[in-house]
Amino acid sequence: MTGQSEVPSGGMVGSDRPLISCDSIHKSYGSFEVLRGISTSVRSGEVVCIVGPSGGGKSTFLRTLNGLEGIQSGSITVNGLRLPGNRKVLREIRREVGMVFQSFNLFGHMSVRDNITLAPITARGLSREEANERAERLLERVGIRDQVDKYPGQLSGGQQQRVAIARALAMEPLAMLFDEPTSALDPEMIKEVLDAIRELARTGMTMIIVTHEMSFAREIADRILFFADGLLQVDATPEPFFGCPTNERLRAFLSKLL
Amino acid sequence: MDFDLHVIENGIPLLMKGLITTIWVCGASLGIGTVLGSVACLSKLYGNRQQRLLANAYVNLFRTVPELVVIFWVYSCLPLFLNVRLSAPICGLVAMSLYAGAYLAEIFRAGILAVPRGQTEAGLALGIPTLHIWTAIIIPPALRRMAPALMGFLTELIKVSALLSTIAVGDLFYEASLIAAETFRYVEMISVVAVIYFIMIFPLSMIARYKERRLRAEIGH
Ligand SMILES: Nc1ncnc2c1ncn2[C@@H]1O[C@H](COP(=O)(O)OP(=O)(O)O)[C@@H](O)[C@H]1O
Ligand SMILES: [Mg+2]
Repeated sequence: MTGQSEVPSGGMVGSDRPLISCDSIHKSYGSFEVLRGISTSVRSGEVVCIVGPSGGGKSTFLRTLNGLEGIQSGSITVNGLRLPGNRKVLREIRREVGMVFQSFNLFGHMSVRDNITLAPITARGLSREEANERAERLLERVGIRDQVDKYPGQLSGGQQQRVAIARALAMEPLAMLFDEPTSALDPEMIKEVLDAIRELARTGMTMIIVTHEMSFAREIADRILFFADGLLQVDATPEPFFGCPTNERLRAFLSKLL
Repeated sequence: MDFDLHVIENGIPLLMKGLITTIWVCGASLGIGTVLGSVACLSKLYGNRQQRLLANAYVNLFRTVPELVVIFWVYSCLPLFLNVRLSAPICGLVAMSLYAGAYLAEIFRAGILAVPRGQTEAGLALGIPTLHIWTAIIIPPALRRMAPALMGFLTELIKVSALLSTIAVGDLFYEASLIAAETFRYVEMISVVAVIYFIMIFPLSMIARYKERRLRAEIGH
């Protein structure tokens, strides 16, 4: 399983060229600095989990990567495209980077099929037939092929989140961002969503996952980032991350979880 | 009291003509008002400082000044400012459109704001072009939300159109009052006009109420 390869000195997963890299990004809301200089990079095929206390800037960081939030200084490069950039660059990046939200954000007035085919048709120029075929294939992959003609409101939370994953995958992105994909789910539905993400990891998808599921992060991540107070406090492979954290904040955070 | 049906019968051609004018003015001002309202609404939501200021001034002005005053102002003052001659129906149409635009702007705005931000964000995150974010993601649910208010406004618009008779636009009420003045059969003519307005407006308000109930059930669910 790619997601669990042994982890010393880095560089064994995917290529060496970073797919996503951030250079000292700063982001403020008014006078409140949410991100205080974040630098990191993610290589193609890597699975990176982000954990940390609520309010630490995890969501904000994730949303700067596809330009849903602008940044005040620093820069982000995604597959050679640079942010901050113009609208064209923004759209280009968003086509290459899928995002899955905590609250699913499915289009409630559209069938599951239309939810998935809208972007491939309007943003990639696929024909309706091609998009349809792709939608059905992806739904099969996340195990809900039979729900294609339902509306989001008729599905369980776990099913909705799997539709959201299929919707993002339908753009055939180079990377996927997940913002607490299981936090809004009832416990019995968490596994089906995590399984879908595990399956993605097996196929070598580049992923950045904000999560509170520590055992999942430990199992799936090549690297784990710890965010607190708008800073990237720790960037480590799972072994040292959970084993012997030297960072005071991380130690406090982990001990509170137990 | 004798109720002379003959007067009504003889008045049918003129009443029809008036009815058509009423429907035409309402339809046209709804159309122009939709354009004005969309511009004002988008300016308020996404405009820069000046655009927001201008849109706010427009909306507040026409939602505050009585419709009758607006109609008379457009009829008697606007031509002086523009230094042109405007026919009564054109003045009526302009006044009604300005009025409709101001109200529709607020209805549109409420409808758009009722669509959760996450819907737009999901569209943006997928790289969907702006045009399709509007036509496929924002407008359909916004329209559903505002359907009751839109129907309600349409009933108001039809009622307000009767005021156009004061500047001699040949609408339904104007034609009826002309016949009444000529024949001295006020009871018949004004009654029949009341019935015609009722027949036009009542179904609309029923639809509005039905949509309102359905929406409540949907949202509450
Ligand atoms: N739109 C916003 N306006 C103002 N403050 C915000 C906004 N979004 C997030 N914040 C603040 O930024 C901080 C980081 O938030 P967030 O990135 O959501 O943290 P996390 O995802 O780690 O819980 C929080 O203190 C939050 O209140
Ligand atoms: Mg968050």
